Amino acid sequence: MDDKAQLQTLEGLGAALLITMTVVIITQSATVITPQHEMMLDVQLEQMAYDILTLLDVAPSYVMGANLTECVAGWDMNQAAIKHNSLPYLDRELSVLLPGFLYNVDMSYVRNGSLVTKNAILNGYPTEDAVVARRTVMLTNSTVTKAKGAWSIASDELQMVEVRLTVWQV
Amino acid sequence: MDFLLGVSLVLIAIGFTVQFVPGIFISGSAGEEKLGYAAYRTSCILTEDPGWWSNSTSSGTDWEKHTENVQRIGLAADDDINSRLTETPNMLSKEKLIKFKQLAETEVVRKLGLFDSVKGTQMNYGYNISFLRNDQPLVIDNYIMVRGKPLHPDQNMAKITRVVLLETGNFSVFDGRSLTTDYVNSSHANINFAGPAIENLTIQITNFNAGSDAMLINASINGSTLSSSDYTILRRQLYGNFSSYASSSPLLDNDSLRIDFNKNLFSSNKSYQIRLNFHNVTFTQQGPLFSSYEDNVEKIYEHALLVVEVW
Amino acid sequence: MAGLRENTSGQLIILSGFVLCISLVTLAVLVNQAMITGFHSSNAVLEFPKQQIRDITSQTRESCQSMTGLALALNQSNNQGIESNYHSLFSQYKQQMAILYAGHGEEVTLSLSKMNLTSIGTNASTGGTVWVNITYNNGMTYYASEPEIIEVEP
Repeated sequence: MDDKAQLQTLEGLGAALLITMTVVIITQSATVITPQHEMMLDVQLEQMAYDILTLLDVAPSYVMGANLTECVAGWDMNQAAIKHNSLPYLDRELSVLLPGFLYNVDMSYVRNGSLVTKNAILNGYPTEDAVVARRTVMLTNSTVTKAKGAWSIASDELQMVEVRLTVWQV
Repeated sequence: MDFLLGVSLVLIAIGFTVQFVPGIFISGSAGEEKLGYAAYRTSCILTEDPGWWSNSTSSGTDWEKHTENVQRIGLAADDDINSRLTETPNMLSKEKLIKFKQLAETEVVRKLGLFDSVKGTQMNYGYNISFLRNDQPLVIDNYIMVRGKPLHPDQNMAKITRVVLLETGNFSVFDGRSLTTDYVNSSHANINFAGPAIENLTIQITNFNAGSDAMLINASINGSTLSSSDYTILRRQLYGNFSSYASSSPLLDNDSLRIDFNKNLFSSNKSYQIRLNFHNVTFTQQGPLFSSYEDNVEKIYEHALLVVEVW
Repeated sequence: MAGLRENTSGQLIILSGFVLCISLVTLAVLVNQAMITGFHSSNAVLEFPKQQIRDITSQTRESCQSMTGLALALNQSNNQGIESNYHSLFSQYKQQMAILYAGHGEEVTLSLSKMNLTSIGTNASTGGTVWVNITYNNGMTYYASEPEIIEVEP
């Protein structure tokens, strides 16, 4: 009469094993694609974008060619289009520092009390997981004259420009 | 009743797994997070901080000169040792890098916080900190710039990559308009150097007063013309990158030239005069009292990747 | 025992079904929580405006430095004192920074609380000092450096 019960106990053990195994497999495979890993990648990419803007800004110009301020000062202020950017020097330096990534560069500045934003380098339209890094530079009459840029700044004026770098991977 | 027994067995088994296999829930959250933080923190402190040392009487960011009293290890170059911060994050000093490579293992683990305390005992993380250029570790003064152990394949680890500028040596930077010439020919640029040289001599010149079809013809030391294998010339056009300069190719006002001389040319303990022989470039400052290599020495920085892996 | 086994109304099966259900739900919640804490903690790294704060302070230090040279040069061309030139440059700086940061929803206020530039025009070898108050607010994080002491030389 109790013969069946032994089989059922074994069945129960088997089921227990099955469920535990499933839980183990699910949690372990889930760690590969958990949101935190994706977040870590975002942190990584954003950190890299900020690193690049920082070192372009702090490096003396004999190190890498023109630094960020000189590049921005030499901007012709034309709106960029795809494959036709208006900041070739910065583009050349960024392409060396960001191999395998796509990036856009925008400039924001204040003119007559209002904010103006223009594209300077346009390589495409960023995907959803693009990251943005910003850095401000200061232009004066003398930096612009030296870099032969198109900014019109009087000798007693200064112009703050925010450089926005958008980076994404395809 | 058998069924109840089965169900309770299942629950007990699951409870057991959760309790005794820490890999399931812990590593999915806290453990891995800790690794991520450790990697991020380590990369930040190395690239953005100049470090700190102190003893009972004084302190400063120049810990590379006081390695026995290091408080914090940071690699960023700093020109004001009392500032506590650096104005130049992401630019790493060569001297600090080499001292970092020489520090004792326990010191590095403790100062960078690369360990975790489990019930009061210290558990060191495995780590690997490397400075890479073109996926190869950099070599500075015969030190391979890698610290830590190689990574096991398919190990669970946290990794962060930073873009940095590394100081790799010295060079002398001149403005072409203030270089000295001699009475023989105004297209000669003369630079003095007091030997012996301990590293290759690199001279960078920008801003030439160049006429049409200006060019650099050759270089000589103390009057004897060098063969082209004794030095290499790189040229950078305005805002470009350095690339090799073929002898006697045209030179523009805004170009930069970087000339690298082998250190063996300056091996004796005497003074040398390097003469660069240009064509159609005018130098206005007439010597004697020639430009000196030592007066204009700056640091060369090259961009590289700092990779921190923690497991 | 025999009574339970002979009970065919299935109450036990339903009961155990419930027990299983509840235990599975608890497990699912546990796993989710582990993921959510991970999400929140690494999110915190992205949310803290470290880079913005650093950009503001380092740009302010750099700008105060170059404004000194500019104020000195202007002093020689217009007939105003170095300090009044410096004030006018700084007010342009703080206005433009405020508008730039307002463009992405962050509030930046800068003010020149004190300055000591008297030795600048007279003796080129000594520098001066300016005291700048910086505050930053993005709704989540408030940062203030009051004052940021900046040593400047022309």
